Amino acid sequence: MSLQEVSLYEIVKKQVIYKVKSYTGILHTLMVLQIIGLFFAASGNSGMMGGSSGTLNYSITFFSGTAITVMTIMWIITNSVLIATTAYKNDDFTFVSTRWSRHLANGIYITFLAILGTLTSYMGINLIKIVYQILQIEAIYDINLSYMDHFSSIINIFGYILLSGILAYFIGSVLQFNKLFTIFGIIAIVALIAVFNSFNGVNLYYSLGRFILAEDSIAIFMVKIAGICLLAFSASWFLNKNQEVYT
Amino acid sequence: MILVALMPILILVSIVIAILRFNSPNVKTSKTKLSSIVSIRLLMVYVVVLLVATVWTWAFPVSSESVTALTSKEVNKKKQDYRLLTAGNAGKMDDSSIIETWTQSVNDGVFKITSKSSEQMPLNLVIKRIDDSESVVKASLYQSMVLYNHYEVQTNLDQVNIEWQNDTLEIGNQTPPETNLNLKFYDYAPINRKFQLEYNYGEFSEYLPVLYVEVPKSIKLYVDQRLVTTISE
Repeated sequence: MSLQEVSLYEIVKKQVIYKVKSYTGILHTLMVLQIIGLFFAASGNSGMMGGSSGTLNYSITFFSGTAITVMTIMWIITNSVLIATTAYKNDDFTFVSTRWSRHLANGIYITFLAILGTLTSYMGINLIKIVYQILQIEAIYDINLSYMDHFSSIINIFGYILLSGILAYFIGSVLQFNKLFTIFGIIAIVALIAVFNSFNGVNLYYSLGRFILAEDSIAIFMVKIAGICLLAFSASWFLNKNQEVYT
Repeated sequence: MILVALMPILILVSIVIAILRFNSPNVKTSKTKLSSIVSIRLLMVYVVVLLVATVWTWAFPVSSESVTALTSKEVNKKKQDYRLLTAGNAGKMDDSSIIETWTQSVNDGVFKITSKSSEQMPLNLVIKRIDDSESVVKASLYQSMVLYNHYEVQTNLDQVNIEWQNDTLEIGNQTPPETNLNLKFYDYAPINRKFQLEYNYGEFSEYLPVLYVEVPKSIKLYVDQRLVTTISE
């Protein structure tokens, strides 16, 4: 029993600041992976087309920030799983904290990583534009986006990255709950989906992914993302709320 | 689509990593170094570089001058004007699309248009017979254009060899050199689909240069009809 009453807000705030300042390896990884993504994007691998008409041969190369976004998603998945591991959990309990405060701090930290990843991956493609502009290699064209297009694009990328991070955190929490259960659970789910796909002649992974991600309305997309994130985050909490501090 | 396809693979990769790193207490020694000042500064430099690049591209758009963005309405108007031009009505065409204009007096009342060989003409030859008492031939060379849906691309197909020798106009019989046109478009993945739906990168139209020759009706005109696209009275 303590004479000092500590607010949840203060504890979570301290833990989040601690995570931001101490998990520096995560920041290094982000930079390295995004630079690799930049090289992929600079090669114009997002699509090419061409042809000829009379005396004119034309080729059109499309550049896209997809490679950078994919690298960022890989980065947040890896780190969100790691945050749920025992090593990081032990670090968290060097503070005065509860499982709930730790869980909240992890959620806020993953959101912070998602915001960081979104902004950096969105801005990354501009580096390639400048290089091509300075070198003046070939005719280039940048499609002019409206402010709304920029906004919806940033929201989309944020949605993908946050969803990946929270789902990865959920997987990490499940792994902490019971390793054998997790492995057999995954095998059972994959097997059941395979059976379902073969009997019904559908691709459930694709349909599910399309239902969640391929949404035309930005508002509905964000509602879906928020709903799934809340579900996964709550499930992670229920799985870990009764665990021992040190295992 | 790419993200949707990659998502199961990304999740599987994360699971493998999680299993490999599962409950290893040693992870924290490499991951939680408290000397974070350098790392945070490094990240700040990285973010500042990206920010500068973003501001730069907004301030100085990368679009090349050789590529002009047009609305679909403007594209249709250009196509319509070009059709009128090749039918002998140059009134609708913008003067800025004229590369060069020649005016030649014809002394003997006879004017000839020739080509050195029977190869395909490097331009559309349009002849308009006008009511004019003066024996003057006026020729205007209109530039070629490439319309790629919402974009107009000027090309070097304007380089047509035209020579005047007294009362004879000789059109260069060389086929214009092949032009390699490389365009690069930038976009962002999440709205790629939107662009594909709205812009439909499929329609490609190339319009050859037009040599628009105005010849008075009083002048006798000799020309191989195979060279001419249109004769308009």
